[in-house]
Amino acid sequence: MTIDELEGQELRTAFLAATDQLEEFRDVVNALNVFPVPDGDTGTNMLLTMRAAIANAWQECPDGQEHTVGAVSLSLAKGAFFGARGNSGVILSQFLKGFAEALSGKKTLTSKDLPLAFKLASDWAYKSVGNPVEGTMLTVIKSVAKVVNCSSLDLVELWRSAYITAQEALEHTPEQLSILRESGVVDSGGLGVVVLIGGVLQSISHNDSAVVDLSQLDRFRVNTYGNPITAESLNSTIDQRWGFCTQFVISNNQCNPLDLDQIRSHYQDTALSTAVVGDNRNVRVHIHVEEPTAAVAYAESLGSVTDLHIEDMDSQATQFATGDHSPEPNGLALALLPVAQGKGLAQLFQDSGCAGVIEGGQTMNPSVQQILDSAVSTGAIDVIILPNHSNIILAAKQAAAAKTSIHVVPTESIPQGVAALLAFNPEGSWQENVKSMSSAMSKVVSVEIINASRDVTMNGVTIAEGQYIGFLDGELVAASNSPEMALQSTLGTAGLNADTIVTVYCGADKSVSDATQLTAELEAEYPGIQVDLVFGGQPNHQYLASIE
Amino acid sequence: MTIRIVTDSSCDLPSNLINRHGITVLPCYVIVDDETFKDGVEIQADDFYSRLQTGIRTPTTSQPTPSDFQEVYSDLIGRGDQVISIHVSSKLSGTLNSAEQARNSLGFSNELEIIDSKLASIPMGLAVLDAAIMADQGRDVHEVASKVRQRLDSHHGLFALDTLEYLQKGGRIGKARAFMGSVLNVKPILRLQDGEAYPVERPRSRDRALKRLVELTQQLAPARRLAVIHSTDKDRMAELKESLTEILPANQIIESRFGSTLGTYIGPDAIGIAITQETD
Repeated sequence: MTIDELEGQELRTAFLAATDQLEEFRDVVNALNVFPVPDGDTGTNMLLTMRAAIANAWQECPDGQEHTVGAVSLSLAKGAFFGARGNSGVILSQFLKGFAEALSGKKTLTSKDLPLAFKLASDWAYKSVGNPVEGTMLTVIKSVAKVVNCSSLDLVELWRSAYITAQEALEHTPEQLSILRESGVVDSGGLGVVVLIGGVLQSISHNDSAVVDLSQLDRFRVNTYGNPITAESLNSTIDQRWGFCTQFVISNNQCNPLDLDQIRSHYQDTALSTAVVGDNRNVRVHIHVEEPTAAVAYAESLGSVTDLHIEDMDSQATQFATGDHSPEPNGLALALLPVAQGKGLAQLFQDSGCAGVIEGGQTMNPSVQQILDSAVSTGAIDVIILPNHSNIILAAKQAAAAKTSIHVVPTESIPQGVAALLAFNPEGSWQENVKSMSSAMSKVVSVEIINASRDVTMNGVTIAEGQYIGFLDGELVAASNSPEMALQSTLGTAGLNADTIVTVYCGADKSVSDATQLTAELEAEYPGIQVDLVFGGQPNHQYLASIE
Repeated sequence: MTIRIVTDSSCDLPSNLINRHGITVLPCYVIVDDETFKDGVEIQADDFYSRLQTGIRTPTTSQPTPSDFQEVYSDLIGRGDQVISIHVSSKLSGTLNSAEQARNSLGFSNELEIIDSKLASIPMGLAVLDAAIMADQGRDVHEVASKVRQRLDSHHGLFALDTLEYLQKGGRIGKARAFMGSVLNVKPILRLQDGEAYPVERPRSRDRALKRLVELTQQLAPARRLAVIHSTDKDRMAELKESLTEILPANQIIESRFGSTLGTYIGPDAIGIAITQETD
């Protein structure tokens, strides 16, 4: 069926259908919104702008009468102008304004009118922002303006070619705007435009699926990492990077065969582009991962790791784009790298913006080489190490002596490390940070509770093997048969008052009920104090605590 | 010719001051569960904060439209007035973009000055107030605008938030910068600088946050003007005000409330201060 022209009412209906389609895609357009401000409202703003356009079109060009396309497009543009929400809405309203200007005085829309309409729509859209940025909905709009007068095509065919061009432009947006590339998504407003153009096409082709199949647009619901785009993924995609291409071989220790399936499934859960091959003696691993340190640490827990290669794909991408082939650190200027043991503590540091966590503590002191490797793998220009244990400070300092980009804030305990972490400013220089973090770490008192490994008398306290002993800033002050009692006695010697904050880090073998009961008892004993509970999961200390 | 001050509702100035100085406030839009409201006109703070905590979708905001600006500008300038239009930092909102578009389509250039306050909330409110007082005495719109711009650096803002969650969800703070708070019970203190929000400290309790807010304010004294503000905790704001009376007497400290636009990002249980430093 050839469609040569469209009447006013048909145009109005087509834009209504397009608005309905946009509603379908609203959440995904919201979730794609990483530029210019990642506030997740582009879909809502475009939808509300279109609804205002439609409402005004129905008011000015009511049902039951004939209307020219000139009048309908003008009423849409006016409605959008007054109802525009956000920058995307403003751009959309200007698009409609240009469209309407081209159709001014026209009774019907023909294929001859379309090139000019798209051209003026694009011109107006570009004028609406002070500083047009490519790789955005403007680029998609501009691509549509390239649809040229072609007498052999009817209106639907011409609109279809605009729709296809728009999709191609959308697919190229990540090449034009680095934030999109880094987030693995196409431009949100651009998708909104594609959906609207597709929605109009579906309506004017009378839902002919041979002409347009909007379900094809579902491919934009998935990011380049293969994950569905949701409102929740917004935050995680903002800082998502290509990560590190990490390769190594794990060889088994004498008596422990490697479990290939288990290794494969571990990396499939924690990394991308996973390729794990081998047998029960040697396994070769290739992964793309944000945190190579953790990936390698897991491997080291299974056997010895050799042939390790870590390449920063972000700096590769940068080099590719700039033609600069000298090695170059990625965008991170300053990374914080703590040493910690225990799932909860690792999580605490990682969630707080540390570039990674070097596994280690009381019984497992990382080597200088491990610290050096971990520091290099952050890709940052400068790295601050938090040793978090007195036995690790020396190794950290040696690493710093070996490489001028490594600096140490000599934290002797996890509580000191957390205090230093709280003073970290990722935008400050390493000198400023070392100064402020060193000063912050000295303001907390550290408490450690451990199990005595033999009978001993220290500081006048007699301890039997198996008892729990409490240290206050490294000094033995209490012993008891229960770790909770040892903690309470130790805290008691510190002199708590009403505005004290005690943070308790529970060890790996502590249950929720142990800890909540302890909190209640402490709060009853010392009225007014604040007790914060963190599940540290550290292996050697039943409890760690800080007093501030 | 009278010089009129135009601003937007993210200035959080109390209505008595707005009325006294004849300031025109363009409402920003707040979108709560798909309903659009004009901030301070169609939705009030109490209603907004209760919906913020119970709503299905996180609220969003939208700048006044170019047509909103056109209407106000052509009305004021049509009456023969001159206009200084002072707005929320361009790094936090597109409001200035709307204002510039309105100016471009109207073609006013001689009667209108548009200023990026590089501030938000009541610190911007103090800059607006400062401008309004200068405008009362001034004659030439460009001269007054240039003084307003020169003095922008003397206005400061510090806020103690209960959580950075809303600021981060709303994209008004980078993830790296918002890096702390969830695991440990941190009450971050933010400062406005170069038109953006920066965390300065991470105290571990509300009481400490209030204490630090006072100490940091004292470092900025002496003050020409001082204001306190809250979102949902009026008592804590009163406590904050009481602690600042060494800087200015209580009856000179302006009390204010984060409106719906700011509330979208600042969240419940936030308090803050704004100070205009004594410069001369």
